[in-house]
Amino acid sequence: MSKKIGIIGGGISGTCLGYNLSLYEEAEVVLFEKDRIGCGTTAKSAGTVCLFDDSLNNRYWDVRLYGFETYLKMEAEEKGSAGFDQTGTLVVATSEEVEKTIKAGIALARSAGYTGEYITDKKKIEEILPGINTDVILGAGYTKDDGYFDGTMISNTFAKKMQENGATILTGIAVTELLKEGDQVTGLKTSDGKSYDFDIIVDCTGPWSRFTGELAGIDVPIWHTKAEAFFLAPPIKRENYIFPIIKYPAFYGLRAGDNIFICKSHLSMDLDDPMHAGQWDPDKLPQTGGTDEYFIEFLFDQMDEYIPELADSGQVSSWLSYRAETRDFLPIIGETPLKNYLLATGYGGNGVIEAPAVSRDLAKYIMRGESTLLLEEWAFMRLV
Amino acid sequence: MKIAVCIKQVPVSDQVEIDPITHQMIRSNADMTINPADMNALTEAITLKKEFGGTVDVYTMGSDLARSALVTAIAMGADEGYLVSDRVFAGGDSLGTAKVLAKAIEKQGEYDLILCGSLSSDGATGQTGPMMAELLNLPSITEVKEILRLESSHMEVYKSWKGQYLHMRVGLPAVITISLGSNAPILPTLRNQMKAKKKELFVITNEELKLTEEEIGLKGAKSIVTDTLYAKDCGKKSIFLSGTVEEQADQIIDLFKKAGE
Repeated sequence: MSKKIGIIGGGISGTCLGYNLSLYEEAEVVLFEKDRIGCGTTAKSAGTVCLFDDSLNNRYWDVRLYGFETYLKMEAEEKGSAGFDQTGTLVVATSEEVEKTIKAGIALARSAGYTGEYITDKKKIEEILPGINTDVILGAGYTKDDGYFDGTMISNTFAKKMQENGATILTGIAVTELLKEGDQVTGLKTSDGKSYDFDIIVDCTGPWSRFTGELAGIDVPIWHTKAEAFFLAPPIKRENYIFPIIKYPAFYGLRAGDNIFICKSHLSMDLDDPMHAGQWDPDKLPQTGGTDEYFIEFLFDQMDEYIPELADSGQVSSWLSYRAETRDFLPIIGETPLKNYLLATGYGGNGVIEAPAVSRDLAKYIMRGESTLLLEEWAFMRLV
Repeated sequence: MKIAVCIKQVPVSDQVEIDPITHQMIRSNADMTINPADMNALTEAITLKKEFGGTVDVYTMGSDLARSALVTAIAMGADEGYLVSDRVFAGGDSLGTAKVLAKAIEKQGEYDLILCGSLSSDGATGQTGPMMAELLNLPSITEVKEILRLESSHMEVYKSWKGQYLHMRVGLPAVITISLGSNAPILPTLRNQMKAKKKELFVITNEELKLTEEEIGLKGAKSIVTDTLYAKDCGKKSIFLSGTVEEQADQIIDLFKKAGE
């Protein structure tokens, strides 16, 4: 018996779930995207999927690995389809606690057959990241195997694959109303005046989830945290040098053409600090600019302490994005108080890493009713 | 060489609200940045300073929010920033702005060279620079692409004119407006931005300039905006192609055929 599923949102969350659902013969999937595929918060994702860093706790390391290998296979199937740039990653230990996490991550990466080493030789670290201040660090974990992907490219590849499997994607169409009968959702209305009946509706709208939740009458417990990013032109250009992804507790960086992209890490955001977090309207975000004054000071202090050479970089541009973050910095996946209305949101900047494993499990749950440990740990009810 | 540069803040985005009554831009709601052509003027001034020595002073007329433009200019390499700010300046047209800036510059002393961006990305009248020249009784060249030679008494420049380049010579002091894209703007480094934030800025009000309300601001404006027109949706839409590479190629051929019908 077929099951009609409506997905709201065409970012990494919605398209990845749509693809995983389309692998079930009896799934009839329609995805609604009010703009274009992968153009919202996904487009502003750095797309770093590193084998070991602190962006996602090592408890969920399999989630990280599953995401990484999904994209590697996507890339192997069609070069460029995941936008992979294998730059390697340098994760810097600024404290014993961070060092411990890195070492565990390296063990996990090696267990899965990837390379990884913890380096204390400061000259070797400087070769990987010239201009680094090694006086204030204990060491660094390094792998050459990983890098960053392109969230928009991946979303479009998933979109293409789900369409090939018979799913429907409607872009430029906003969901304006959720249709309900009693305590369950039965369908939705769209901006072009049409109505659709569904057995299940999944909200994959990330930072827009509060607004979509209001249509459902649900208070979706996410906050917006600011992802403030700067593109820097480094003062020294080195021939044949590949700038790796760099991970520090409070920021991360990666190459962007000849420039360096630097962003504040999502775990360093304080949900109780109105400078960091709040409830804003993602539709009002400018394409560029919009960063707060304090962020330059933060960034300069971090660069001056850890990578002084980059403090002398020219500022090319900046932009601001909103992450959808929950209180525990983990996403909200699955059932909600409204029957047949599910969530796959609140990835908090980790959507590219987490969406493949989450979507695999959520699709199975929707189609077979079988839950997984991951879905149980990331359930809506934990936040109520 | 003593150089003054006049800069203006413009909205970053094209999504700017317009007051339906006054037809003025609502700047308080928009993220602002230095007008792109003014960045070229600043870069030209700072490059000249590096080559020939001297100082670069930057002037901007606006509210307190315009301070950030001066901080950026100083981070790029300018020496001093002057915020020309007073309620009576608000709502002025190009001539009113030129009067205020010319008076402020005159008050600070003599400059060998005054540079402006040729056009602003919001108003785009291109009038403020030459109007300032007129008010200061100085020669002026607009739309300069390149400064070819600089001497103590004169300078030679390339100016674009009706698709051609004119090689021109002008006596100094002069007012020169620099074309958009005539150089690669200097990027302020993080370190210089931090230093610039600590630098004291000078504020000039009408108390010092003593301009009458009849000649500046909304009251003194000789031009009024009577209407604003919004660009219509051009109707462009993207089409997502799917299927195998061959199928997608066929779809592209079909699209070309349809477009040619």
